[in-house]
Order: sequence, then C-alpha cells, then structure tokens
Amino acid sequence: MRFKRIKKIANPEMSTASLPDIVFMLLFFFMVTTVIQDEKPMLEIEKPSAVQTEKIEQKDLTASLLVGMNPENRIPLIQWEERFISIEDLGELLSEKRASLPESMQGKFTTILKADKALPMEVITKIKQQLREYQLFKIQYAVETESY
Amino acid sequence: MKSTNRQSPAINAGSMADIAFLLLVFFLVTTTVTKDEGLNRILPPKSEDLGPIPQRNVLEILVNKHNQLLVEGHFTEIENLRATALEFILNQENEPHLPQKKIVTIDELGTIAISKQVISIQNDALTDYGTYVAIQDALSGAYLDARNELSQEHFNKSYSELIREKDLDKVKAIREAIPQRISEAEPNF
Repeated sequence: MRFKRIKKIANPEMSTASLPDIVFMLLFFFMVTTVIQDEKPMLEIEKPSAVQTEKIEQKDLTASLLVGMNPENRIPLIQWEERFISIEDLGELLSEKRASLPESMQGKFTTILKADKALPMEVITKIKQQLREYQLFKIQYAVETESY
Repeated sequence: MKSTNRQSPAINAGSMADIAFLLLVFFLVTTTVTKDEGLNRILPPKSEDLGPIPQRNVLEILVNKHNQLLVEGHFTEIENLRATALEFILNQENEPHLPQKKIVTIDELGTIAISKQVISIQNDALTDYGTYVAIQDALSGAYLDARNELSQEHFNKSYSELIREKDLDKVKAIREAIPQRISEAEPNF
C-alpha cells in the first residue's frame, strides 16, 4: 500500500466578513433590552427582599415613588420625578399623572413604592392612606428578588 | 466626453466590525439591568366594613416595634408564618379553632367547601417596612401553596402551571375558591 504524503497546506485565512453581522446582532439585542433609567435616584435605598414577586408589564402605566430617609436628621423623604415632594401633595400629583393617561388605561395605573427596608411603617401607612384618599388603589411594593 | 462604465470599487468593510464593537461596548457599559419586581396589592376602599367576623375566621398577626410577631397570641418566627398561614387558610381537618367552611358551587371546581378565612395584620408605627414586606411575602407564599394544593387536587396540576399555561378559567376558579384576603387594621397612631 502506498500512502500519499501529506502535504503541508498553508493555513487558509479565516473569513472575518461575517464578524460585523454577529456583533451587530449582539448590539441590537442590547439596544432592545436596555431600559434607560428615566429618573435619577436622589436617595439611597435598600429595598426589602421577597420571593413571591410579580412583574409589571406596562411600565407607562406606573409611577414610581422613592421613599427614603435623610441620613442626617432621619426625616423621611419622598422622591417623585427628580424632585422631593411632601406626603400631602402626593395624592394630587399622582392623580394628575393618572388623569393624563387614556381613560381606558386609568384603571391599571399602579403606584410603585420603592422604599427603604429600615423605614418605620408610620411613613408607609401615611402614604397608603393618602393614595387611598385619591382612589389610587393599585400599589406595588418594589423588592429585591431573592433567588431560590 | 467619454463616459466609461466603470465598476464601482468595493468598500472595505473591515472597519465595520470595529464600529459595531464600539457601539456594543457603549451599550454594555451604559446598560443597567433593572429588575423591577415587587408585591402587587390593592388597597382596600376607605370604608370597608366587613361586619362582625367570628374570631376563628381571622388570623390575627400583630407586629411590634422590635419586629416581633404575635400570631393568634403566640410568638412566631417569620420563617414559620408561611406554614401557619397555610394551615389556617386550608383548615383541612375542620378544626374548631380554624376558619369555618361554606359550601359553594364554582364552575370548573364543582361544589366544594371553602374556608371563610381572613388574615389581619396590625403593625406598630415603628415596625420596619422590611418586616412588613417579609410578612406580606410569607402570606403570598401561603396563598400560593394553598392554591397549588387545591389545583393539584382538582386538575392534577399546580396553580403556577395553570398560570403558565394561561388556563384563565381554571385560574379564576381557584382564585374564587381561595381569595387572597389580607386586611390591614386601621392604624391607631
């Protein structure tokens, strides 16, 4: 039997023509999944943790409230749309926001409460009473999800 | 003038990858994956008068300012609340200190006995919000367990599976049989 001599073949150059396509695909993935944070948090908040969580699908039907504590004098602060508001104004501002939505969607309006876990319930209860006064019944307590 | 039909020269696409990478890196760096999840609740309307409720139908949870729990008069760790609440919601043994049952007919489920349970939370003004959320989480878990159990019994499938399969009629039936009734006592501070 005769064997053919294996010839040394020069390494063929790999085509990199499809590299941009791959990168673009990744790029589009990130562009689509990116959620641009619309508001800058002005408070440092450590959310409580929970397991039984749900997601909100329609983010435009929500208003986020950040509730934290001033570290110096321990006065509770509420941030909404890049400014601090008082509990008394809260109901009015949020109902205005709800009124700006199309009428068929107003029932789905949800207030997302992003509050620090060390806050006393006093503050949260006051916010809830205020929301109830203005018929803003749907509420979500934002949490950090625990993984199983 | 002579117009020659010249072939357009091919554009070098070699730098395309560099541009795309640059954009990609930019998005990678600026992306903050925000996981917006939480516990959904519906606040009760202002004047909610349930009328007198027999003591046995209410699971009373008291929380003090040191974040300690008193469930039906017993000190309870928050880890055990889920199991306690589940036992309360289902009352499978028909025990006299657990909720009464009422016979109802629900589509999909037929005639079943459902418990008239209500869970009541009363917290102190200085209870931590974190503890409150932990309690809410435990109660949600207990309701989920109860619903899973009922669903397994009737449809041979857990409630979570029903939701995943979007079997809305069955989901509704289960929800009707075990409604999530968490009442929050009017604060006295």
